[in-house]
Amino acid sequence: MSLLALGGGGGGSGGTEDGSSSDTEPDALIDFTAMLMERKHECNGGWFSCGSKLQSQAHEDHGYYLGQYVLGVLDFSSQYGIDYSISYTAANVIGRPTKFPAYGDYPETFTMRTYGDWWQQAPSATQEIQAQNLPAVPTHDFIVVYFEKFVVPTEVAIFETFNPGGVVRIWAYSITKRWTCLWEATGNDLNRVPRDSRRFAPPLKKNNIITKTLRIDFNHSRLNYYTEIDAIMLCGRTVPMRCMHQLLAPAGKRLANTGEESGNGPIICKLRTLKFQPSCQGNDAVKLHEFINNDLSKFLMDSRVESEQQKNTSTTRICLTDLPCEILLKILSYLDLKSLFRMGQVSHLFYDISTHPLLYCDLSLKAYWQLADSELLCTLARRATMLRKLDLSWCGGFGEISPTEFKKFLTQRGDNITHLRLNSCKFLNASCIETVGIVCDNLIELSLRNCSTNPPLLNFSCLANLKNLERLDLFQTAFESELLLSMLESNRKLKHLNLAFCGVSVNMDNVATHLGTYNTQLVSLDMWKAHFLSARGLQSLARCQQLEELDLGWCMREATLGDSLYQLLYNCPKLKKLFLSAMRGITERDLMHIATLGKNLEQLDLMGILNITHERVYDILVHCSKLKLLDLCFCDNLMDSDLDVIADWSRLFNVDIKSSRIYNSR
Amino acid sequence: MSHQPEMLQMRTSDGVVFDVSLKVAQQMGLTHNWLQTEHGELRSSDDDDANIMPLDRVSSEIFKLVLNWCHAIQASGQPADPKSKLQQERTIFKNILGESNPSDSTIFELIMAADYLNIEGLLEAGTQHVADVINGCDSVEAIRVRFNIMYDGEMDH
Repeated sequence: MSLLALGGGGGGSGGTEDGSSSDTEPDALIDFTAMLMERKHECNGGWFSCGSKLQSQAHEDHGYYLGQYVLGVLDFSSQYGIDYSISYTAANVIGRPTKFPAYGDYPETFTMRTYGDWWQQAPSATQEIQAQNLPAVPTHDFIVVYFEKFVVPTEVAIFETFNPGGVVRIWAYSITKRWTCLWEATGNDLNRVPRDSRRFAPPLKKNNIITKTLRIDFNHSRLNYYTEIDAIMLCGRTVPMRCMHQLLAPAGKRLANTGEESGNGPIICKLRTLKFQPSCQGNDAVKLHEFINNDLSKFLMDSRVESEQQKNTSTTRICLTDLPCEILLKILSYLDLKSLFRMGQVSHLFYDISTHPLLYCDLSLKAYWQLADSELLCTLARRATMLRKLDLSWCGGFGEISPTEFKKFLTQRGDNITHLRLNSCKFLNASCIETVGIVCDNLIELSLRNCSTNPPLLNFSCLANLKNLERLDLFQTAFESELLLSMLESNRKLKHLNLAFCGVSVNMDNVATHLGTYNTQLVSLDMWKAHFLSARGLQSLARCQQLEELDLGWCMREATLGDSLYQLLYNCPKLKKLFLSAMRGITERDLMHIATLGKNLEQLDLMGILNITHERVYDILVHCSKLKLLDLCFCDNLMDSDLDVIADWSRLFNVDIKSSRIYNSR
Repeated sequence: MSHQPEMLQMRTSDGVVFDVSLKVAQQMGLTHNWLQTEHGELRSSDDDDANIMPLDRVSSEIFKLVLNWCHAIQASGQPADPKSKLQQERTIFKNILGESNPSDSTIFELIMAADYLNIEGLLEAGTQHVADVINGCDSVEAIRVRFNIMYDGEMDH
């Protein structure tokens, strides 16, 4: 829908929530996979004819200042809507803003699946691997977008139209194939931002890079509800053609001005250790005299030659290097990977300690996604002989990691891995997945989020060897049904399963039946936007009596539930989190059952349920004493007056209640 | 002559004797060994010397800090979950170091004492403290300067 920049103005009505065939316009159906395949996209120039270029003088020779909107999306870790839809999907960030400066919950924007800390508090929450690598403000989600023209960026503006304040980092990919961080949020930036639409353009670091690809990082912790992005604008100075040709000349030229520690030869290193160098020019005798009088003592001290005096006053002074190796190992175990490598360069002793395999049992390169490459994997392979947990999420997106190197790494070190996370790993191919299946048969946790290639990488029996899985996360990932069903049969100890956005090719009733038969230990299940789930499937799920978390958002739609929800609630008393967003088939009786049977409910999402009345809300609030979160947005049966009362109840019962009233009053 | 059962006497490497309540002393893993092997039953022997637990590797100065730690831990009670326990330990560690900026040497001695006396919480807090200092260094050279480490030739990987 947002592709029609030429048409100007927003397309569909504000009420559309998904892409049923009558709503979508032909050019709104975005072929996402094709877009993801295209890295080098030659622009046809159609998008920016509506005066988006801030032109001064378009001299071919000198370049000009330009403001441009997103041309396409290369990758995103999470979106609320499903791919073929136009609502709340990442593709909505393309082109000019359609809603800004209006403020509200509009489906024509880019929205991510999560907000706040609620998912970290849910039963399905995971622990970070090698958590010390994460920065103070960690990134939860990201989107990678590209523009038409290369520029030297001067400004990046993000148009936020709902709950602003989620952006924490802005990265740019330069033509030298390096990612540079143009801006990073500090503690102050995260303070409560006023709930109004805003054009967020933070001050960028001074840079000389040439780019047309940006990555925006988000952190949801402080967000009250979903944050929504309408558009992203990249402003900067274009680069004249002849300069571009020079810069894109064949490899061998290091253009980036990084140069951390240039020159590490032995002589330079030796010179660096000498901090004091007496100058001897001209009148040498005088200089020497002055040196002896003024500078000698300082020189001696700097060169660590202690005088007798000093030796007497200090007792046994212990240095870091005097500590026993086990303690040094313990200290180093708290370091993030970057500091650990740094420590390894300090001296031979620390090199030996810092390369000890015990420090590489839990390994995560997620925080270093912009640096991770095949070479680093190779280095780590030598050290990680006791590898147990591995997280390569977000790495190798632009070819920095080769599938061959990954397979080699896994073959060498993967046989004892228990936890493997490969979220948004664009370098994966079918062969890589097969290697996982063959080598990593001790896996307890496998996370392969955001791997939605077509045809799916997860096919046939590539993972059939895995029999010990307790957690399987296939959020936003395509897979063949037969593979999943066979995996369910083999992994009887499965506790956590995430199948959100698995698409139309998966029949959820079949999956549910399998779960009810083979995976009765299930604790959490996410079926967000699943297809073909019916009352029968829901009844099957009732056999998983250990369920604590169930996300059925946008499943079932208009389908009648019969008493399947009742059966589920009755048989699964441990339920803490229940999401029933947009399940129109929910009746008033169902709501009464939720109140009477949901004793342990902490998070309840009833967004878009039309039959809900304020009496039922009160019922639920009174009976579900552990409730912390209640989403009542788009419950159109609730009048404004009801919402007033509900706001009072929110305070009275100490429950965070979300309602559409927050912004409708504008 | 015979001391109360709730107290334990401990003598540091420099000959200073400390009276430590048994409850506090039991935070130290080393005490358990001592109580089991040497001090099976509380005997009202005249030879008090045998009832004093020797701490040959800890000086009195450092032991004072250790006792500060143990008392602070006892005073704060049981924390709810592992995360808040870590928080609590790190805060207490910072407190016992106090405003007087202690030298690296003191901190290292404290860490070694924690290791010798087998006090897990103190060992973790101390080592984490040093790790934080290392994390705060921006470059290899900064680490060398901060901890007075000599560079010893070309690194080969």
